[in-house]
Amino acid sequence: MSGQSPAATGHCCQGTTVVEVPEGTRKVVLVGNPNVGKSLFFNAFTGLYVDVSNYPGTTVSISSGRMDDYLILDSPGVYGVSSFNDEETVARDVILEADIVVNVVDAVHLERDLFLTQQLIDMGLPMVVALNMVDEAGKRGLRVDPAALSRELGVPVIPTVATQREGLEEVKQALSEARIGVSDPILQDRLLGLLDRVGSKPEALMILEGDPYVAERHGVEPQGMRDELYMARRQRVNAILPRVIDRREHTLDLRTRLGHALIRPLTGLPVLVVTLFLMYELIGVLVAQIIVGFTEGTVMQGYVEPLLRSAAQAVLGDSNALYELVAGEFGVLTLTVTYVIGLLLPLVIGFYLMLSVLEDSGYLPRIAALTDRMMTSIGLNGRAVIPMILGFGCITMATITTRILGNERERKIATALMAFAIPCSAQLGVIVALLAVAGGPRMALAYGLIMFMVFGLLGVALSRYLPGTSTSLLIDLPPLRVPRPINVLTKTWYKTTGFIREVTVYFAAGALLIGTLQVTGALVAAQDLAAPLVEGWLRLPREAATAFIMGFVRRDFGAAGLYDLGLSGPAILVSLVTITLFVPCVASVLVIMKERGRSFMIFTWVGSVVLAFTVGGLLAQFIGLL
Amino acid sequence: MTLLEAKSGRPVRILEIGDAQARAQCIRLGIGEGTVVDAERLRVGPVLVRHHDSEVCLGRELAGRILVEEAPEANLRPGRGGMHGRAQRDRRRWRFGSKRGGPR
Repeated sequence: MSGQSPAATGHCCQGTTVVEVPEGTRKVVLVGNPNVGKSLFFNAFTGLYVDVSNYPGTTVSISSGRMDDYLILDSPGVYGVSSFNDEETVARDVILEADIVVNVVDAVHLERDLFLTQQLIDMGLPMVVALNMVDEAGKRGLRVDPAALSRELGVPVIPTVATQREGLEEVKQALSEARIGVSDPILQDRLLGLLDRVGSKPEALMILEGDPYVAERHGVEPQGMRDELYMARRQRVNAILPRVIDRREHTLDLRTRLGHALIRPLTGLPVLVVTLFLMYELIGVLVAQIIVGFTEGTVMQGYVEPLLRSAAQAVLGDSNALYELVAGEFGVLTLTVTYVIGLLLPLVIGFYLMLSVLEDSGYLPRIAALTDRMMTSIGLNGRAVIPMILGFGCITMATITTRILGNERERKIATALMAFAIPCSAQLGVIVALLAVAGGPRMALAYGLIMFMVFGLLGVALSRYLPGTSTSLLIDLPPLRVPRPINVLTKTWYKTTGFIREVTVYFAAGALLIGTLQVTGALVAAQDLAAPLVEGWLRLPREAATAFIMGFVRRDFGAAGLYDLGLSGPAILVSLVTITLFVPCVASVLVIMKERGRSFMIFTWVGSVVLAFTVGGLLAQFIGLL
Repeated sequence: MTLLEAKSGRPVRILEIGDAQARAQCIRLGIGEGTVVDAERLRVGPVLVRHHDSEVCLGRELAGRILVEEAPEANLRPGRGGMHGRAQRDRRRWRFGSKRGGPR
C-alpha cells in the first residue's frame, strides 16, 4: 500500500507503518471478530517461522509470517474498525496497510460478524471471506449458503472448518481472486470527495466515521457521521441475513446452559471459588514454591550468581563500591538475572498460561459478568478482574495489563488497589508459610478478612474521590469451548516474552537504585529511621524495620526477613498486614511511574507507607487491648 | 422504561442508547437501536441481552441509560432487525442522503 498512496508515506514519521516489507510483497491481513479461529488460519498459512512484534504502549502483539509471495499479518480480534481500545487501534493500523484482507467470520454469529465484513468492504479493500465454523452452525440449526453470501457481498466466500483444516487450502487459492465488494454508492461518492485530501479510501472512511487519530494524521477534521453510517451498514447486513441463512428451531444445548450457569451467582460463584482454588494450587503452590525454588534457589543462586560474581571479580576486583553495584547483594547483574529469570519467568508463564486457558475457553468474559456488580462498587467494571487476577502474580505485570481498562480513572483505581492491597505471588508464598507458623486457619482468616476490608474501603474511597466516571461493562459472551493447546501455548509464549522484554530494564534500574542506596548507607539510615515507629507503634522488635525496608527491594525479601525474628502469632499478623500494604517493589514503582505518571507514583508510594503504618498500628493497638 | 427496569425474560425493543461509544458497539454486535432482544437482569449482576445466537452483558449503569419498550411479538428472526412499525418511521433519518447538505 505504501507505494501506492503518497499520503500514507508522507506521514510515515508518525509511525503508521507496522511491518516493513520488500518491494513486490503483498500484505495479506487476517481480520475477524474475537474468537472466530483467526489464529488457526494464521498458523496454517505461515507455518513455524513467524515474527511477533509488540505494538508500543499496548499489550497487543501482531504476528507476521511469509507464505509464497505474501506477507501474512494477524490482527487482534475486533468487532469493528475504529479506535475504541488498543486492539482496535492496532487492528486499524494493520488493516490500513493491507493489500488484501482475509476476513474470517463465524457462521454461528453472522449477524455480528458481517458488520465488520461490510465495513471492510466499504473501505474498498480487496478481500476474501472465510466462512468458518460451518460445522458448528449446522449443529445449531443454521445453514448458511456461501454462494448466496458471495453474491450479496461481491467477494469470494469459502466455507471452512479451521479446526479440521477444511477449506484452508481453498482460502489460499482464493487470494488471487480477492475482490472489492459491493458497497453503498452514496457512501462511495462521499469517500471519493475525501480521497484527494486523504489519499486512501480506507483512511477516508475512518475519517468519515469520526476516527480522531486518522483525521489528525492527515490534518483534517474528523466527521461525525459514525451513527449514520453504522445504522445504514447494520440495515444492509440485516437485509442480507435472511437471504443467506436458513434458520431452524433448535433446543438450547448443554453448552449454552452451562454458559448461563456460570454467570448466575448461585451456580457461578461456587464454580469461581473452585477455579480460584485450582489456580492457587497450580500457581501459588506448584509454580511459586516448587518450580521457583528450583529455578531461583538451585539454578540462579546455586550456579549462575557465583559465576557472575567471579566474572565481576575478575574484571573489577572485589570489595569496592563498583563491584557491590554490579554483583553485590543487590547487584544490577546478579539481582536482575535472578529476579527476572529465576523468579518472574516461571510465575509469568504460569499466569499467562492460566489466563490464556480462561480466555480461550470463553470463561473469562463470564467471570467479568459475574463479578461486575462487585467491581462497580469500587469504581471498576467486570473487565478489571483480569489485572486483579494477574496482580496476585506480579504487580508489575498487572500494572501493564491495566491498559485494557476503559479509561484512565479505572486504570488509576486498579493500579492503586494492586499497589496497596494485593500481595504478589512472590510475597504470597512467604505470607502463607508465616501464617501457618502464626496459628493456621484462624490467622489466615483474620489476615484475609483484614486485607479484603482494606481493599474494599480503599476501592470505595478511590472511586468516590478520583474525578471522572468509569465505563460500564459491555461484553460479548462467546460460546464455551475447549481451548486448543497450541493456541494457549503460543499466546502464553508471546505474552511472556513481550512482558519480559518490556520490564527487564525496570528491574535492572530498580536493582541499581537499591544498590546505590545500600552503598551510600541510605538503606541502613532508613532502617534506623523506621525503627522507633516499628517498636512503639507496631509493637514489633526493632529488627522488623529491616524487613519492611527490604520489602521495597523485593516484597518477598521483606516477608522472608520476618521468619527469623521468632515473632508471636499476633505480631506476625500485624507485620504481615503492614508489609502487604507497604510499598510495592521498586520495579513496579518504576512501571507505575511510566504508566500513570510521576505524581501518581508518588501518591501510591507515600500513600502505601501511610496506610501500612496506620492499619498495622491500629491493629497492633487493638490486639494490645485484648 | 430503561433496560434495567425491563421485566426479565420479556422481549423488549431497544429505542435509545444514551452513550455514543456503547451505541456504536451495540450496532456492531447486532443489538443496536430498533432491535428486539430478550433481556434478563442477572441477580447481583449485569443485564444479559440475548438476540439470536448472541449474548451480551451490559453493566447496570449502562442498562439504566438504554431506553426500551415492550415488544409483545417476539420477532427474533434474522433480517428483521426490529426495523418495523414506529421504530422504522423514527429511524428514517438514518438513511443515506436524507440529511441536507452533508460534507462538501
